Amino acid sequence: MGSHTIVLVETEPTTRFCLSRLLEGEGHGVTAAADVESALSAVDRAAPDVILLDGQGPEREACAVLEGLRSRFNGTAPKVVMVGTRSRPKEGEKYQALGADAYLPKPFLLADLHATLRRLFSD
Amino acid sequence: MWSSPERWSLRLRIFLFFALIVAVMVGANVLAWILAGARIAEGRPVTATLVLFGGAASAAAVGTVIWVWLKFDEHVGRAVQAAAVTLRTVVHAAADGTGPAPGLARYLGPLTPAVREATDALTAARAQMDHAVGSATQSADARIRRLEAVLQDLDQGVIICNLKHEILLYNSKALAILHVTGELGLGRSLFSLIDGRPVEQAINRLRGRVEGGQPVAPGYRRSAMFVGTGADGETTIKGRVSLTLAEQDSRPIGYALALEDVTVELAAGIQRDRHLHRATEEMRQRIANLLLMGELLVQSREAGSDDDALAANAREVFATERQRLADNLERLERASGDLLASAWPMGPVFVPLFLRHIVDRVQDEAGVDCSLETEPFWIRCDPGSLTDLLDHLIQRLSQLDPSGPVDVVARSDNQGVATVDLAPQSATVVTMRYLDAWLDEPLGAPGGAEGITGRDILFRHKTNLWPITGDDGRARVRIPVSRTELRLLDSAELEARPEFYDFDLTARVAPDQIDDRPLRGLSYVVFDTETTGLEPSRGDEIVSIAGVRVVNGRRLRGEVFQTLANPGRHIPAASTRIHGITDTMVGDADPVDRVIGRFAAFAEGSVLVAHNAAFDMSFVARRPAGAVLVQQPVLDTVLLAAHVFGADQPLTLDSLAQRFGIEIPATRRHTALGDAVATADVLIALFGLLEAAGVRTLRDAVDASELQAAIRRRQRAY
Repeated sequence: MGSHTIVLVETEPTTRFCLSRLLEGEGHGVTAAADVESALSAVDRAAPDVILLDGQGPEREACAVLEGLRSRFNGTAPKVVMVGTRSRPKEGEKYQALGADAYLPKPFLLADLHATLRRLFSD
Repeated sequence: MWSSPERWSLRLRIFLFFALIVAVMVGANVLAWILAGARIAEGRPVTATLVLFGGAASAAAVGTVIWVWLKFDEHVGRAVQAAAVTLRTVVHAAADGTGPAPGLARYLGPLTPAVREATDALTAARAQMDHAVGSATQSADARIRRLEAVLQDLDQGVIICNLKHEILLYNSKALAILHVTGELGLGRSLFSLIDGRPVEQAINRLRGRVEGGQPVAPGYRRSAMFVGTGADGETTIKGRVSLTLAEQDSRPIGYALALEDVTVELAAGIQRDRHLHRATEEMRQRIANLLLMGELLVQSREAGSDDDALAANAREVFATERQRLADNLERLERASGDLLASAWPMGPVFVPLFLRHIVDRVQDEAGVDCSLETEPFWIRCDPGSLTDLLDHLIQRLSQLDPSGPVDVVARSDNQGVATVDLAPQSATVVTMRYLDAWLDEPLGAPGGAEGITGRDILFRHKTNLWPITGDDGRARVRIPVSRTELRLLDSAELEARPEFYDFDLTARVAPDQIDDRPLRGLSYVVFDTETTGLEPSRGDEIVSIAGVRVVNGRRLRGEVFQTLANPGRHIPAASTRIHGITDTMVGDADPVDRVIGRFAAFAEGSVLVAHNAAFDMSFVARRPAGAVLVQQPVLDTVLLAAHVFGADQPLTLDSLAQRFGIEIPATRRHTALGDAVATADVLIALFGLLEAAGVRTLRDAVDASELQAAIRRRQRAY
């Protein structure tokens, strides 16, 4: 599995800390952000190919990031994986309609995230 | 035969009258000729003499004819008219006939006794029929009363309507659910009490099904659920609507609503959903953090690094996440407990009766001796399962300590804490080990639940039990129970009156134009006012107003509006002498405007009726709150009676009541309610007479009233 440049947008500090350390340990380049503004500036700086976006904060924020991303990229956009605490199938469908490529409900293991990324990049 | 003129036969009298005319004419002529002949013989001028005596003879003849005509008019014409009125009254208004006034009818000969015989026969026949109908309907009445009793006792609100959404029946619980205070009208539109859309949609769905002949499981095809709001917009009402079908052709003719107020229940449900939702989301986050931290530690160890900072960090994360997980699980437990408990039917139970029943049952069925000591209070519980639990525990305690009776003691303090203690006779035996074992034993199957245990029942009641040592040093099992206050029935419920229904409204498929509806089928509010004086224009005001409802030709005893009003001025002694209302009595009453507003709500959609309506309306119309009333059709029993009996007849409320055999108790005459009731009964009696006189619809009645009003105005002008 190749290494990715990942922007991790996560409001929950523990998740942010663990996930970025884990992904770095796997050899990915990780930029972590805690809110919309720093997330979008991180995207501008790092030019990621994967964005892990936390949908758990205020819904408006996740949507704002998705919309901000859409206006930044035409065609070769990074893959967006939404991460959230709701498991209902409709939730994944909604975020995909808003522009996300996958939805990963918490709790998940690193292996689940890898599987999702493999699926996204094998297309 | 010649003894007294009053005993002469009618035919003889008529003959004598005409004989008198002939005799006077012949006599006068003969006399005139003789006298004239003598004068002419004396040499007086012929022409002048003939004119003089011819004229005198003619005058005598004309005078006699006029006299005879006057006698005939007095003794025959008017008497016949009076007899006709009496006959008509008896035939159409079902009053007792007393015949024409005897003074007038003296010379009518056999007609008076004949009229009396006819009216007597009619009255007797009517009484006989009334009796037959009465006994035939008695059993039907008894059945209806039983139905009423059942309806009033139901914990659900019940309303029955026709397809025009007019209310035909309701019970007092429905009033409570819809927050109506005692003045809901039969025949009024349901949609003035409840937001109509969901009900209408449900009915349309059902009608579609029934009329479209869609095959649905029997029993289900005619009812549907709906959730709506009360007219106040604040009460949430859950209900089931069922179509009523005509017996002959299964055509829908109305519907029944069963109502429940679910405002509190729904709000609790929403709250619970929110709790559950938040708790699960929170748990996902906590578990995610724990897992990720675990993975991070594994990864770090696999990489062979020895990161002390990471280990310390991990310990901190584990500690905080553990605490948050524990808090969440507790919240979740509480929410699920609520869920279980609220799914079970809980109700208020009066403790002394409840425990007495259990103690008797244990004594009778298990032969266990127990005593009961209790304070009077109410608890909220599922009596079935709680009975099983207490029964079970008492039996186990008695087996453990058979030395004496088990004492059952129920106490409640002012803080709303209530307990039931079970105390065996000896002091030491009850321990948690026993209690735990007893609570795990299955207790039969109340409500069909399988293998339910004492622990389940405690859980369901959100309580627990434990051993304590009482003041007397004896061990007891303590069970806290949740106390509740029972709302006292208000007077409206206590005086649940019979006429909460009128099924005849089902058949009342009325034309939309109220003017063309038959008089008897209309809904009336018959009212009367008592006032400070006779001149509203000089500041006289209402001090009391009362109204009763007449629907389908029947006065509804259960629907009465009656209230005093504070006129905001002194009530003159002369007026108090008439109606008995003093300044002190109206001191606490609502001001006139508010009273009229309430009356307008009571009278909404009805035809207003009063005796001498112009007088009462002049007081009502001057007030802003009376503006609605002025728009409604008004009938006046004075004018209607004038149309039937003639304007020259006495038309006071007392004389009409006497004519129709309506009794006004002396204590109630000149009270607003007493007079309103009498006026309503006069109106009902007039219906038949009006129909016979060709006044069939409201339009006819208004036209007839206007004609009579015009006649009276003209009479007053002379």
